[in-house]
Amino acid sequence: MDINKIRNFSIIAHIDHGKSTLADRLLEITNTVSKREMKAQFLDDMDLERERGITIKSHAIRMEYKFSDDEVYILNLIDTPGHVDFSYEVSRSLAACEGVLLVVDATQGVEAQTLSTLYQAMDNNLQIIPVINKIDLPNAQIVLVMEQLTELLGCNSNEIVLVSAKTGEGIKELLEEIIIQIPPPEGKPQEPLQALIFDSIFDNYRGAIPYIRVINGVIKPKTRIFMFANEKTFEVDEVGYLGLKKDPQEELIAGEVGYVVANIKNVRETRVGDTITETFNKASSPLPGYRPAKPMVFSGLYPVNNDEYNLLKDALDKLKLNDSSLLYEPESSKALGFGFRCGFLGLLHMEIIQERLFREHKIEIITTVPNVEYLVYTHDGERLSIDNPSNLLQENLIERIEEPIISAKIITPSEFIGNIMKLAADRRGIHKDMEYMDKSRVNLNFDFPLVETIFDFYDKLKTISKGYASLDYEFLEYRPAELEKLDILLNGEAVDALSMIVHREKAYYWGKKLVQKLRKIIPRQLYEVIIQAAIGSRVIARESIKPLRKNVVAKCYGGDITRKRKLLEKQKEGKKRMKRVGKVDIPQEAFLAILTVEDDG
Amino acid sequence: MEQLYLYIHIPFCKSKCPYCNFYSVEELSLMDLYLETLIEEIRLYSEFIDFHKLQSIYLGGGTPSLLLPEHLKEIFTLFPVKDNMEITIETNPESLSYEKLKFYKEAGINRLSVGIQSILDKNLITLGRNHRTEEIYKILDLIDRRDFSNMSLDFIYNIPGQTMEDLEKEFDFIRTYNPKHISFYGLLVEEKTAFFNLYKEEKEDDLYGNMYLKISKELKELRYEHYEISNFCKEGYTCRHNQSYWNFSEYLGLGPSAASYINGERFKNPDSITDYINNIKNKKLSITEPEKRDERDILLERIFLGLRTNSGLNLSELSVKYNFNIPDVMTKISEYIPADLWYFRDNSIFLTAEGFLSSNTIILEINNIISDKNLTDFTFKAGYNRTTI
Repeated sequence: MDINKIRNFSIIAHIDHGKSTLADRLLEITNTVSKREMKAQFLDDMDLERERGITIKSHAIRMEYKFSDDEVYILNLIDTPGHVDFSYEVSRSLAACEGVLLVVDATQGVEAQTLSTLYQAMDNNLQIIPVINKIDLPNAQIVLVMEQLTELLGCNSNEIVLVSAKTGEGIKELLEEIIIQIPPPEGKPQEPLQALIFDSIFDNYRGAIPYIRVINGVIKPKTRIFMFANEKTFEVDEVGYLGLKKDPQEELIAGEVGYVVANIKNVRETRVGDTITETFNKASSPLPGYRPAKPMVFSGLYPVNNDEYNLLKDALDKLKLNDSSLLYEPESSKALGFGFRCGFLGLLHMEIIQERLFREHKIEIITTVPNVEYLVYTHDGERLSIDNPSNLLQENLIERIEEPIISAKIITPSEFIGNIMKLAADRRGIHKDMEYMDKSRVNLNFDFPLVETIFDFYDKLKTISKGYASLDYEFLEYRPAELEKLDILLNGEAVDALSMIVHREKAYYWGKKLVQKLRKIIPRQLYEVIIQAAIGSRVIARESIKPLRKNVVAKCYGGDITRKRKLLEKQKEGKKRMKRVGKVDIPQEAFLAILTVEDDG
Repeated sequence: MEQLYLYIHIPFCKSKCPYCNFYSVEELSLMDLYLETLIEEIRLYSEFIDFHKLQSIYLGGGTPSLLLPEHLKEIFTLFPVKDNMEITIETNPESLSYEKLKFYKEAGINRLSVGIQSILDKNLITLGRNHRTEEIYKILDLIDRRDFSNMSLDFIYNIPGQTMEDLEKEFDFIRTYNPKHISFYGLLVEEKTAFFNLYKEEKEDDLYGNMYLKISKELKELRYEHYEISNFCKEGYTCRHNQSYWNFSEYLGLGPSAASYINGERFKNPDSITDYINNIKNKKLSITEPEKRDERDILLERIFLGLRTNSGLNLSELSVKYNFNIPDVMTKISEYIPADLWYFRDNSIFLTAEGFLSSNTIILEINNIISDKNLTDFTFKAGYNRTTI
């Protein structure tokens, strides 16, 4: 294999800017996938991904293309996840490439997430090919977007490739530009093995299969390999290319992209960003940039039906096999029984897990209010990490609490600056700076307490900017804050699963909103239900739900008893989906009531 | 069983009331064909059902008062009618007449149920009824109370737009007329009715409950016994036929959509007059497969039916069958069901009027407690068991 004929690249694009369609076209033109085999949007192969239009996991595929010099080139497209929750995974995909296509929608222009990924690509010294997509649309603003790009990249407008992934226009030219502009990999096959894991999948028969970019050295069957971060050793069974199907090869050498089968039981052992080397000929150091999975958002997952605890455990174990960023450990709640405290990369990641538990494992779960990890310093000089509000110590033991702060980048048309500033103030944001990207678009930078951005922040941002503003963020640091625990009591008893940690100034607001919301969500019961919000022993809000006064089959004659019984059974099923805490039946959505509090204005 | 109760569904109405989800058609021209079929159906059943066990005949609908005297004559010649039988016909004020009443008497009908629904025109209009208050008074004048001492009046409450004051007028009327039996049905907006599209958004107010409790209280004061969720009567005037549905007696339903409970099996005729006619023309009963009820279903049925009436749910019987300890179950029930909704006497649970109002929830609660494996030493077998009760 002549590594000078290899091009490794990735596509940077905002959601909906046409990344998947563009990838489909590239696969088609290079005859990697025939038209017949082409499922729409080939790279997004999880149902959920296709529905949401977001790539959740990375994927990679190898294409061959005969260039005008009559030589066949190898093009490895390494796809990247398309959501802020997965920015670390993006950075590892980029580290496996020499170049990127920066794809921008001709009708939308550059967005925040695209920008942060672009900066990462620049930091990695990748060759950047600017591409404007959707030029076939009548509302395409090609000149405007060109201006944005030339300003952003300092390039000439004639360096921008204009394409329509939908019609196929410009795709051939784009392929040629990839070959011309993106440099071939520089690796040394004779050096000790260094292979970067940029993704990992789980196969029921063959175990965890890392997707790798070989940076230096050679990897082949029978090689004893060593994972730097995990410090585990395996023997390689098979290596190969990532075509439409896995294509076994004798070896992968420096510069190549492919997969490794090595009888690895769990994707935990093939963590993205880790470096594979040879056990008996170790590289002196791993490749830079590895970071262990760092969950940002935590929540309790409980089976609605207590008997399903073991099923939930098995299901999480299975999901973990192909999602190494999911963390969980058993916990118990007085209200909900036995369950798990789970750590997620972000709220989207949480939703995905919840959805997959339901779809793939048919388990109905209750998710408790998501929260972040707080650092609590006691008067005794102890430091505790608290990721479950009900574990917060009594106030008199606490010296101070620190909360995680993120640095957020919001790109928006300038007319929405006012709205965004107001939203930021509501969410305890600190405005850092603002810069105009062109005449009409602004890049705003804020520091936010992470917790303020996990409750419907993104949706709100979209609403107040008519969908135009885009967001990117990264963890910054921990800072002290005035925080306290807000408890919710039902008929006088605190429901631990409904507790949350809130900022002192917002306690009253949240308390009031939450009890109002719960009053709407919790159905009337045989007893009156009193809902209270309390800080310590101080009740700050109260609502009550009057006892049920209408649930009856009034007419039961004519003898069709079965029909009436079925009606009761339907109600029974509905009841089963609720959680009984004390005497009160609580619907699942009550535990996430906080997320929708704002909907009611 | 020694006793049998007979229901005959007369599936015809001049026009369909917008709130009603009982099966009926407006093609009155099918009446003759229907009667032929009904007679054939009776003949088919008589091969294995002994009609000498009959305790009651109930002509329901639909609008049974659309039947002409000659129709009724034909039907009644098919059964051994005895003096002590309860024979009821449901009637509408607008289709009753002096002649019909006279004939009912002659035919042996001894119980009359008149669907007056309300004595206020505005409510009758909302309900889409074809009669008005005036006809109600007229027809009640025609009824000789000596012929039909056992008479029931049907009322509906929770009619859109109806007020508590309206209800007082119904009570005034009841006080004056003093019928032996009253059915007071709370209007529930049912699927597949015209009302469903109009009123499906449920109001969050307590009017339904307030009206219900008021009715129960008022009628009790007028010395009516509240003997079933929606039924009231003077002493000795319960509807024996309707009680067969609630106390697991055997009943046979004839005519489209009619339901039967025979030999522990529940089955019914289809909700289609054409299927009914076609099947029986081919000398074949038109019934559905018996419902597959497993032990859990039957337990739920017993609780549901037991708690409907003032006979109550007898825990002694259940505790033997399901092997539980009554005090354990009672402790749980006391914990989860507020005391004003029920009472316990002679090992049976009874619901109060407040309890009737939320009876579905209470039924499910009790069902849950009795099925709790920590309390009940009984293995529920899933699946259908033919010899169940």
